[in-house]
Amino acid sequence: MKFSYTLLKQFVPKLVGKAQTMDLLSTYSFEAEEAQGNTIEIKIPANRYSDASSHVGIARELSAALDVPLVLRNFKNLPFIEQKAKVAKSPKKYSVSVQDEKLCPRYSAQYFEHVKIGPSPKWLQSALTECGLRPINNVVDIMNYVMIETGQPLHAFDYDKLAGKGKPEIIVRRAKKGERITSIDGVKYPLGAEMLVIADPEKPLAIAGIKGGTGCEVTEMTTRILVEAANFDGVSIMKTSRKLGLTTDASQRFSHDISSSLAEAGLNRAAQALQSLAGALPGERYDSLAKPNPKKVLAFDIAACNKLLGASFSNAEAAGYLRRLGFKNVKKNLWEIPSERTDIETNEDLSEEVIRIYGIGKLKASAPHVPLMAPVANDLVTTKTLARNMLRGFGIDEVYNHTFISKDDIARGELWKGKAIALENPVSSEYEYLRQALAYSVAKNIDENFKYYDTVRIFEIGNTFLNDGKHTHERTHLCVALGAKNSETFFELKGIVIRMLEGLGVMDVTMKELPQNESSFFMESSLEVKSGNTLLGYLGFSRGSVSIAELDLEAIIKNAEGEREYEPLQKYPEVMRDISMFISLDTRIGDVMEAVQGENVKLITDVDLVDEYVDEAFSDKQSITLRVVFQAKDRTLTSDEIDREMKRIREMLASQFNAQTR
Amino acid sequence: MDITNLRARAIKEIESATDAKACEAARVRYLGRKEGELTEVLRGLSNMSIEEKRRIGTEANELKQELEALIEKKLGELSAGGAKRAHIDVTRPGKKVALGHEHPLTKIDAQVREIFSSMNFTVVEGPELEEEHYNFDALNIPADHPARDMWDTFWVKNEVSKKKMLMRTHTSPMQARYMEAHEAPFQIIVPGRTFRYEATDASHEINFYQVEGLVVGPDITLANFKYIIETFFKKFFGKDLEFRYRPSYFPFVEPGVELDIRLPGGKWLEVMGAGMVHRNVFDAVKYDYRKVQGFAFGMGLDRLAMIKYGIPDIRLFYSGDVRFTKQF
Repeated sequence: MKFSYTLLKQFVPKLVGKAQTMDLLSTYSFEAEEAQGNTIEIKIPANRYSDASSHVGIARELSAALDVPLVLRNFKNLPFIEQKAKVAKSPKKYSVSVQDEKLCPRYSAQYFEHVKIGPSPKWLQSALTECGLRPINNVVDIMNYVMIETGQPLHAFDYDKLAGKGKPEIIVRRAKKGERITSIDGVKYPLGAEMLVIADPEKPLAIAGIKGGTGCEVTEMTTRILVEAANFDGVSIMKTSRKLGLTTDASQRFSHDISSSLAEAGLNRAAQALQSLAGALPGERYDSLAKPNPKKVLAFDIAACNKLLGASFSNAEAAGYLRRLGFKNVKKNLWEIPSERTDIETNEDLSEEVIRIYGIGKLKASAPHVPLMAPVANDLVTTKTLARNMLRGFGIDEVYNHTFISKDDIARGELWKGKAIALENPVSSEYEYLRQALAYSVAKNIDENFKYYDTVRIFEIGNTFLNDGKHTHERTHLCVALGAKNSETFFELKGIVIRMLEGLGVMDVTMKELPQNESSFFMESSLEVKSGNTLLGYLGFSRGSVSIAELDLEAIIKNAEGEREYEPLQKYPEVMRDISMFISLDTRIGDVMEAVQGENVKLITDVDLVDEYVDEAFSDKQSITLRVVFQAKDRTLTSDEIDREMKRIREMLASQFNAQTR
Repeated sequence: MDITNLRARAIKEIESATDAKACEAARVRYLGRKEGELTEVLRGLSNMSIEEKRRIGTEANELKQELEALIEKKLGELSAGGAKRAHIDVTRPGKKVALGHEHPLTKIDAQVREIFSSMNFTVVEGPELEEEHYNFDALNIPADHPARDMWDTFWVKNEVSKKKMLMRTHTSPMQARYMEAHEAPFQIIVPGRTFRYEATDASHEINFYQVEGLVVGPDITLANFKYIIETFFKKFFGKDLEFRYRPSYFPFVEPGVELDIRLPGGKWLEVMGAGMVHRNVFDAVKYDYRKVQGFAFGMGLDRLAMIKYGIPDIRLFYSGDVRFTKQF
């Protein structure tokens, strides 16, 4: 919000410049930023609009920071004169009826006549300009000026343009269905039944608390006016303002639920200014609030304040800071809170006032006294670190991608079963869905990085989301991709996945080839990685030279074994036998190896592929050599025994795989 | 089987080898896995009587060790003595061995975790797809509260339940989640990805990282916050760091503060919002605010990384560009 340094300086003559003012505000009150000329941009916190969206409010903050009294009387241009207008229950010149007291807790108005329209004085015009407002004429300018000075938005109606039976009637009501209003600046707004309007019996006059309409605005011809100083429900104003896409200086203030006491202060100030600057004669005032709001009195607990802050303020010292901000000590520890300070409700609120005026920077830092308890390790946190370290060791670089992906990305195919979750308000179609898998972006990364490298090895760890029809799932995944322009990468990736799973404690891993599927993310072949019955993830080609694996880290953690136990070292020798054979090109080597291993789970400790050869001369056959390792835990195996095993294997291979062993 | 004869032939052949190749040939002939002469002897042991096994087995195994040692020695001599033939120029560049690179945010995250862990903090994480309740209501930001405007939110279409879901706008929801499930006292940090609906530029991204901190106990004070956080930043950036505290407003704390730091010779940088946990937040998780108090803080990891590494544009973090990662 824009503030005029010139005006602030008039309220707080001790100020010595914009820089000092901004510094004081930043240190003790609110963030302030440099703006052009005599303007200062101040960020008013959402809970401080009531007291601080005004020059008087900011001046109070500055005077508290400087420890000088705020004396409004001294304001030279438009001295503050205490004046109490008599409030008429039913004014003779006009009537007001508030039909929705929830949305309009207070409506006050005052009639003025003999108004002489003309330009407002230079100082007032420049104050407005410095706050980003355009001077128009003295009456409109006074309305705006009183708003920036006191924080209360006001509105002036041309009395002679208001309709009513016998006398103008002001009605505060909800808009009718289909009702429209044209604002002062000529824009037509369709209104809804949840919106509040100020109306006369014939037409809506203004969108309450937001903007005035045409037909009753003050013009050069105006001589009699009705000034409105009201208070509106913040939520309602905020919703209307959002719905209409119309934010004004008034709507900003009302949206933040400003104190209804401001209405009286604002109307008083406007009455004074209209008399001084427009020669107006004040008439009857109306106020829908019969009784003034009760004063807010809070007990201040200095011990609790010190305990919260870790400070040791004396009662007198703390009281001093509260007084500087205009809080009144009623008796003992009871404090009357200025009515516009709607943010002050608890002892913590009061403690904040004390510490910020003292200076948070001056509070002495001290070490906490806490019982020493070992931090609890979180499995997911540790697993991510472990996986990262392993992947780095395999020479793979880490990337981060956006959580959001596009419809086109999803169209590349499915990995985990489920529906992608969409954003209600995406920033663009590029980022419309929550990623179901990391592979979509990682695959793109490989392509993009091929511009600079022939080989790209990357991984990402991140959260993925999908909807399985019943529930929404958020899972942490790990995606590894290897791409080489000129060579195959799949088997290295397969090896990495196995080693990594082993490193993460998953020993029992099976990989099953998946049937080719149009809707699958993997264009060519792919494997399903499982441990027991748990799906850990997928591994496959995205295209010829790019292989991608994506694993569910949370599934991995569930299937990881704990600490290992010692097994006696093997005492008896290993015996290795190689077996070469021709098998059909369609036969899966993985299946053959698994079958060999399965022949004797006890004695065969490993089966490895040591040679493979494909030649046109073999027509539809391939030649492979497997190495079978035998070892017993309790004895040295004899040649006979192994020969018998090998014979069984050969027979099995011949019958199951139609293999010709050599 | 004449081990003695075998020994003589093998030793002679190894001794007479003039280069590594000949030496290797001798190794294959006698010790080769497939048909090495000595290997065959050892393989044949299983068919021998216990008596033979003991005698020949011992001899053969001793010979195996002897030959292995001899070959190794010979190879050593050949490469050292034969310097003229097989000269190794040790000044040549080493082989390029690949080690992957961590993303800079992973590095910064690890540093932050380590410093806080060393101060007895537990690291916890929470969901990125969050309920409106935890992101806002439980943090004293009710619906229609103007303070909600402080967080531009990505709302998520929820097709499975009536709950309003969103991408968390800060890591603060874990304050409520953690307190619901744990008793005070505790000290936690919550690093994680957060989201804001906004236009991207060099200093704004639609997703970024935050670290939340929460310390609650019977007498945790604002002065304690200053101690913990100054200790953290000095460990992170070095001890010649200056601090500036300003009042601030976040609905879930009271008092609220903002912290700026200044590196030697640098400008003031906003790095953190913090404050004492608001009693309404304690109320929402059924803690008694008369019995416990504590502080919470939140800072942007991307910003810390940008300051520490001099990275000018936040978008680089999410570019997937390996040239970027390889620098760290």
